[in-house]
Amino acid sequence: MDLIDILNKIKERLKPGKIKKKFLRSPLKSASALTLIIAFVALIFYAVHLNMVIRRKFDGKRWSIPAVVYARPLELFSGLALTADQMEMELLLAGYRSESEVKDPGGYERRGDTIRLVSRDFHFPDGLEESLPLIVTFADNRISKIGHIVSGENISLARLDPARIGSFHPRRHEDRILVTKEELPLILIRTLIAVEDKKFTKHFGIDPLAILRAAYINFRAGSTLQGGSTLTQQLVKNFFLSNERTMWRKFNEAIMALLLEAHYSKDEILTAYANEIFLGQDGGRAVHGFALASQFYFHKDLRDLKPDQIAVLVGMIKGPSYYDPLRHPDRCLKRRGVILEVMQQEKIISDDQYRLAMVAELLDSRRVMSGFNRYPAFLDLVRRQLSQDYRQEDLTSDGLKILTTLDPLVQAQVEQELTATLEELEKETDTNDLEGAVVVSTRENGEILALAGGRIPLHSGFNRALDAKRPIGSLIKPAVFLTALKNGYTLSTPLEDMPISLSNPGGGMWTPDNFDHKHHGRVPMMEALVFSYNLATVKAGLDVGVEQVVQTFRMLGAEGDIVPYPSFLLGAVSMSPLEVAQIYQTFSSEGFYIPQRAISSVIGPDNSLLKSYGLSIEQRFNPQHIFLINFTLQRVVSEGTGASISQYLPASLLAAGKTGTSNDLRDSWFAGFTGDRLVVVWLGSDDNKSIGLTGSSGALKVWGRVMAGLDTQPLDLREPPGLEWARVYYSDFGADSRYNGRSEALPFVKGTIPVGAYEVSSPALPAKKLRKLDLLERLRKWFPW
Amino acid sequence: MLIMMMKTIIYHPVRMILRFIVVAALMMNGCAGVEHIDESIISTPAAELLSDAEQALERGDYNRAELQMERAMRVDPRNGQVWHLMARIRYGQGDYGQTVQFCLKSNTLANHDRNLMRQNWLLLEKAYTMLGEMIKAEDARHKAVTI
Repeated sequence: MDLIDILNKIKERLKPGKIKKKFLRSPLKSASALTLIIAFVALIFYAVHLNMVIRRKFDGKRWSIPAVVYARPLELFSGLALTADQMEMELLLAGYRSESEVKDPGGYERRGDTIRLVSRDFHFPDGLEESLPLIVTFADNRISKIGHIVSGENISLARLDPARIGSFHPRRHEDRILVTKEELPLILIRTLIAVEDKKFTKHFGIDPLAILRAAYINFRAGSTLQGGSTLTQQLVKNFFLSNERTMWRKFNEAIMALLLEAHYSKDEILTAYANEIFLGQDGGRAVHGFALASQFYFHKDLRDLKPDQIAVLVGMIKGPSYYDPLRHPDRCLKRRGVILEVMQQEKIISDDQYRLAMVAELLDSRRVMSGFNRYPAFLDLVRRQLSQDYRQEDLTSDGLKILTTLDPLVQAQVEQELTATLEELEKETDTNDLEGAVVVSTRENGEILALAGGRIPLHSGFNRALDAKRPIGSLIKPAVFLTALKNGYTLSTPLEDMPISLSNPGGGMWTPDNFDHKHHGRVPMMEALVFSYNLATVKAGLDVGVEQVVQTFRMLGAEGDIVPYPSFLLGAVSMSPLEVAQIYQTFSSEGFYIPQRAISSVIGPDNSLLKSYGLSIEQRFNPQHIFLINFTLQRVVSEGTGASISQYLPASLLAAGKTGTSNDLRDSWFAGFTGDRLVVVWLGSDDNKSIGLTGSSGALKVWGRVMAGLDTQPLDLREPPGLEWARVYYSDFGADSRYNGRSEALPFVKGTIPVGAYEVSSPALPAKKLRKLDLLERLRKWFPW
Repeated sequence: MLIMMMKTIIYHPVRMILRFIVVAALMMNGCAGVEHIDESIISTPAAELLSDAEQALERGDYNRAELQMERAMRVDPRNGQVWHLMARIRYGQGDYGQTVQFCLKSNTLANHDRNLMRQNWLLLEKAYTMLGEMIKAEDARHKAVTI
C-alpha cells in the first residue's frame, strides 16, 4: 500500500532525534509543534480512511449495473392480427425512431399500410437474432406480407428486439447502460476534455491553476460563475458526496480526487465518469451516463451520435435540467452552439461539420416515446416472481437481462379501457373514488400479458392486482359445481333453490339469500351456475361437503389458509385479482394447472441463459368435468348473468366467464376467457366501502371492452373422449319452474345420462357426418394395425 | 429403393392396397386437396420453429429445443404438435412426469389427428414405463395400437 509507505516515511521523519532541538526549546513552541504533529497525523489517518472508502466504493460501484427488464419480443408472421397503427406503437415503445428513409438499425418508416424497419441485434437465450431490414404490409387488420427490404424474399417468421420496460437497482431509482473505454467515441472524449477539464491528461486530480482562475472570476463577479473542478473531482462529487457547497466538502473532494488519481488510470477514471455523469430525469428515473442519455434523448446507440448530439450531451453536464433538450430546447440549443464552437476551435470537428451541426435539428426523431418504466405494476410482479423463483446468488451478477411476458399492446388496451370505463361508471353511480385492477394472461400457457394495478397506470403505489385481497363472491361457484360433478352430479341434477339457515361455527345463524331475493324452486344444476343462484349453490356445496370444495379450490390453484365455513361456498374468501386469475387459468387450459408467469427467462451478462423458467403443467381434473363447467360458463355469457357482454363482443366468440359480487356491493368481479386470452377484472374502492356495482354492472364492462380491443380468438371447447350428449326434458322440475316444458341437449359424462333422456349426437359434429365417421370407424377397426 | 418397396409390398400388402385406394381417391378428387394441406403446413408460423426444435432435439440440445417451443406456443398455442414436441423434450431431459403431462395436453389439442394421438400414446407408454407405472404403460400401448 503506497499510502502506508508514505505514512511510515512521515513517522520516520517525525522521530524526535530528527527534529532540530532548537525548535523544541520554548514550551509554547513545543506545544504548537505537538498540535501540528497531531493534526498532521489525524489528517493522514483521515486520508487513509477516505482511501478505504474510495477503494471500496469505486471498485464495487463501477460494476454495479442493474438488471434490465424487457417486454416480450414481437413475433411477426403473415396472418398475425395486428394493424399498422399497433405496430407503429409497438416500435415507438421499443425505442425505434421514425425516419423519412430507413437505413440504420432501430429506425422505421411508415407509409400507409406499409412499414419498413431495420430491427436491432438482440441476444435471446437461444442466440443472437441479427438485425434485419423488413418490409411489413398490412391488410384487413392483419399482417399480409413480410419481406426482406433488400433481397425481397418472403419471411415466414421474424422476431423483433423487445422493448426495454425497466430496470432493477437494488438501492436506487437509477439506471445506466455501461460502456467501456473503447465504446466511448473519440470525439466525445475530446469534447468532454476540451469543455470540462483541458488539463485532464496532465493533472494529478486537482488543477490548482483552474481553481485560482475560477476563484478570481467568481470573486470579481461576486457570485459563482465558474467551477474549477477537474473531471476527477466531478466524478468524486457524483460518486460519494452530497450536493452541498461547503469548504469541508471541497476539502474532501480534493483529497479523494488525489487518491482516485493515485489508484486508478486516467482511462478508468474517464470511463467511470462517462458512466456516472447525471444527465437528466425521466419521470422517476435518473438518467446516468452518456450511453443511456443517448438512448433517452436520441434513441440511438452512443457510437451512432452525430457531433451536434454529442455537443448537446456534453453541454448538459453544466446543468442537466436547465439545459434539458425536451423541456428547454432554446437554452439547450444555445448551449449546443457554445460547445460546437469549442469543438471547432479545438479541431475536433472540421469547419464543414461545424456548419452542418449548427443547423441540425435539436432532436431528430419526430416522435419520442418510451416503454421504459411505464408499467410499474407489472415490474412489481416481475420483481416478486424473481425473488420467489430465482436464487439470490443467481441474481448477484450485474447486467442481467430479464425477458418477460408483457405485451405492450395488450397493456395499452387494458390501461385505456380501465380508465375510460371507471370514469363512465363514476358518472353513473355518482361516486368518485372507484378503483380497479386487471390481469390478462394467455389461455394455454399462463403467461401474464398485461397487469393494471389501479386506474392510474403510472402510479407505482398500491398494486391492487397483487395486493388488494377481496372476497370473490360468486367467482367461487364453478369450484362448487366442479366438486359436485366429481361426486356424480350432472348438469341436469335438480337442486333445491330454497331458503336455508345454518348455525355459524362462529356463533349465530347464517341465512344466505339469492341476489334477487327470490327462490327458484327445483333448478337443474347448470341453471344455478348460469344465473348464479346462491341457495342452490349452498345446497350442492353442503351436500358434497365444504371441505371437498376447499380441496377442489386448492387443486385449481388457490393458496393460503381457507377456513371451510359454509359461507366459503358463496365466496367468503379474500383473494387478489392475480390469485383469481390463477384459479381461472386452470379452467381456461382445460383442467391443466399451469403456474402463471411474468418472466420467461433470465440472461447473464455474457448472454448465456441463466435459468429458463421452464413450462410445467399438471392435469388436475377429469377433462370431462372441466368441459361441463366451461360449457356452462359459456352459457353464463350467452344467456346468464354475463349476457350483457353481447354489447361488447359478438356471440360467435363463445366466451366463457363468471360474474362475482361481494356483500353490500363492495367488490365487482368478472373472470373469463376466450380462445386465447384469460382476463380477470376487479372493481372496488380502497377503503372497502360499497361501490354500488355488481359484477355485471361493473367489472363485466371493463372485461368486455378489454376483450373487444384484443382481437381475440373464439373459444373452441374441444370435447374430450368419454362424453355423451342427451336431450333432457325439464318436465319434472315442478309446475312453477321456468324450465317446465323446456328441453335441451346437454353433455354428460359417459354413463350419467339421466333416465328418460334421449341420447343425441354432439353438436360439434353434424349428425350425418357423425354417422359416416362411425361407419368408417367400424370398417377401420376390422384391420388391426 | 426398389427392394424396399418390394419388401413393403410383401410385408404389408393390406396397407399398400389401402394406400393405393387413398391415392386413387385423391387423384379422382383432383390434387387441389393435397396441395392445400401442404400449403397450410408450410404457412403455419410454428412450422419453422418445430423443425428447428426437432433438429435441436436430435442433437440433444434440449435448451434450444425448449426455447423454440416456448416461442411456438406464443405464436400457435393450440397446436398439438408443439405440445407433443415439448413432451419429447421433457423425455430427453429425463423428466418423465412432465412427459406424461405434455402428452396428455397434446392429446386434448389433437383434434382427431390420429397420427399425433398415436405418437402421444406411444410416448406415454415409454414415459409410464420409466416411471414404473406398468398398468398405465400397458393401457397407453393398447390405445396407441387401437386408435
